[in-house]
Amino acid sequence: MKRLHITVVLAMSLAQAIAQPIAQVEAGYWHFPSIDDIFRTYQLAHPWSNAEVAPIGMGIGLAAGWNQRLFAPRSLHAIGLVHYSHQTTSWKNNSVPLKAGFHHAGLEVLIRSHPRCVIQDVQNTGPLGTRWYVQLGAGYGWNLPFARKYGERVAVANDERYFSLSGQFNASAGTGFHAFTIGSIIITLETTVTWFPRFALDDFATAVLGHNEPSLPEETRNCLLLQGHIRLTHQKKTKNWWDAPRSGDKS
Amino acid sequence: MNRRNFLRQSVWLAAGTCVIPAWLTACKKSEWQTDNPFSGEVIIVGAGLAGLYAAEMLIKQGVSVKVLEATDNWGGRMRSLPLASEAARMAQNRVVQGQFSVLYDLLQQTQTPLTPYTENNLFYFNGALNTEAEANQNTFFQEMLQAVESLNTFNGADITVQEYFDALGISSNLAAVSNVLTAQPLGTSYDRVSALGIAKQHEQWSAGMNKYVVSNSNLEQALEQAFAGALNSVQYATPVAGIDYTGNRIILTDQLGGSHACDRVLITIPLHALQAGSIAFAPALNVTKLEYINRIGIDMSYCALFKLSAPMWPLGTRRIIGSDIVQSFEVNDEGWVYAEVSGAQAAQVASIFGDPLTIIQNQFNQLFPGAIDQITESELHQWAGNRSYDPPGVANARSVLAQSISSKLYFAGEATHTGGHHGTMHGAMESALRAVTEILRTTA
Repeated sequence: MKRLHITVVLAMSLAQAIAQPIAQVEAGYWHFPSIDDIFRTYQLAHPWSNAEVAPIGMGIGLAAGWNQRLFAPRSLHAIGLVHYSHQTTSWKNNSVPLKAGFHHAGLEVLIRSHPRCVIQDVQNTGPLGTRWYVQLGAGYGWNLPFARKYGERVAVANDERYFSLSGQFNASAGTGFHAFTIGSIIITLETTVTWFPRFALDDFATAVLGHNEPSLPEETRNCLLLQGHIRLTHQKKTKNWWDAPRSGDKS
Repeated sequence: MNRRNFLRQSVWLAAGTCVIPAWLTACKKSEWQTDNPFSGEVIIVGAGLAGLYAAEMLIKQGVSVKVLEATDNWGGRMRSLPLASEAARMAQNRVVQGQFSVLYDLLQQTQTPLTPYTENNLFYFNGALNTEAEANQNTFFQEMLQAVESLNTFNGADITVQEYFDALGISSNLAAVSNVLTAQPLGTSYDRVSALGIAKQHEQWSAGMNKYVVSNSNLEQALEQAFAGALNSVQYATPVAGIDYTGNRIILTDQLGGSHACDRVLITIPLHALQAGSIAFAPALNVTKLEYINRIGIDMSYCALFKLSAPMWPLGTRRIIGSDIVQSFEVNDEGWVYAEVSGAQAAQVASIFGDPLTIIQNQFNQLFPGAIDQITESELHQWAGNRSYDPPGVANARSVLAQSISSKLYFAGEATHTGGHHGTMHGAMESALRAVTEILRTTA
């Protein structure tokens, strides 16, 4: 374990030394019909109540990572990101005693370039490559769902408080635009679609409804996350051996 | 770029990033919906808690619902003394367990007063009444309590709870107390209920462990308020005799000769009525289903309520546990005594020549000599079936019972609950939710 920690720290230090750090704000829309069904079933189960518990939809998140130029003439860049986002039910009436949602954290590796760069070199690109770009990514994420009723963490079985951590792979595609530069910070607008082949929220239905509802699945498949990002990339003033200006860079 | 421009652009960017996810989220519907919403007619057999709750949910979804109830009252087994005087019935309290259950939500929404349940019991063994502190000084009592606690994690052979206690060498002097602490809450006795069944129920329990006391009158008011629509659709004194589901439309015939047609039937009658074949199905239920229905346990029981002119027990006492045949009496500070006798003890009462109410009162008189002369009011109700429980060998019988037939007949009620809440009020409601989602997913 100690060796692993040292390796991770060294890798991060190296990445920090040779790459451009990124901070990112994210807003996303989660599309997972099976999980929506849990909240619709909760709504169905409370016919006497006019309050509405909307299904989980929007999530807000943060990410940090590094941008690494791989091959300037083809504007090829790699990005490593660590994400965290928080999703919860939206409230339309404060008398609803349910608050539920999940935390999502993940690691993602992205490759980005300009479509034209597949067939030819590009000239006059900036430090982050072409101004407009497309990207593909793959990652692994962890979900930590939560549910509180009347301000109390619910129990799901044997009176144990609900805790269920699960993980899954995901793939993403997106496009972005380096909008403007302030000093050494490049501000990028980006939109992505992330596909989760399966998305597990074990016992989430039990936690929300208070009982095991056999008709509701333990996981949802083919879940989509549509996200908008505002990315800040720090452009280093001191160039290192890897990130030095190369042929094709905008002067 | 100056600071002002930077701030302005940042605000626009942030708003722009959030607006599409927020708009998409707002477009998500919170109401139940399917691609082909069910629009047929549903008849619910039984106006117990499951039947009324199912009716209320279906009505809210715009489905046409009729509830056929055999008796003149709604509530079914929720009313343990349906024929008692108003005063007697209202004097009785109900215990609701589970702060995460849908029933608790209902009681909160209707602002029903709930009092946290606290145990304050007297235990009768070795010929004397003992307070809890006195009982805890007895080594055999402590061993028995440990055995009761360990039962929740039992993972051995499929034996009865009595066999489990015998194997642990629990003192026979404490048989009545151990019976009350394990099997009686399930509406039976410990010689009939499965030790594995109790452990499994404990493991699956997801409604929360808090217990609350609610008065009968408040509970009935809350249910009347929450199920107002359903109560309007109840047709009383209409016992269903037969269900013919051979054609596209299902035809129900009642014992008065009436006929009712619909697209779906939700059967919520008590398990013992199904076991007794009180409804003739055409075509008949298949042999496997009938066999599994009969595997689930449900016992006859007596519910007795009587009032003494003054309490003879220390004030604040909740239960007196451990007498001979009637093994538990619930008492309150107003002098009311409530006894529920189930399982082997109910069979014993039935086998004794005489009035069951007198037998039960005589039992109380043995604990408090002279009590029988102070009784001012009393009521008794005999239930053909009380609550369902898991006897050894029950396996997945509840799942088989809960399965619908030909997408026409659906089953709900506490006995059909497969997630450990059988035998409870909220379990009955949750089973209704399951059946309603099944119906709403079909097309008509």
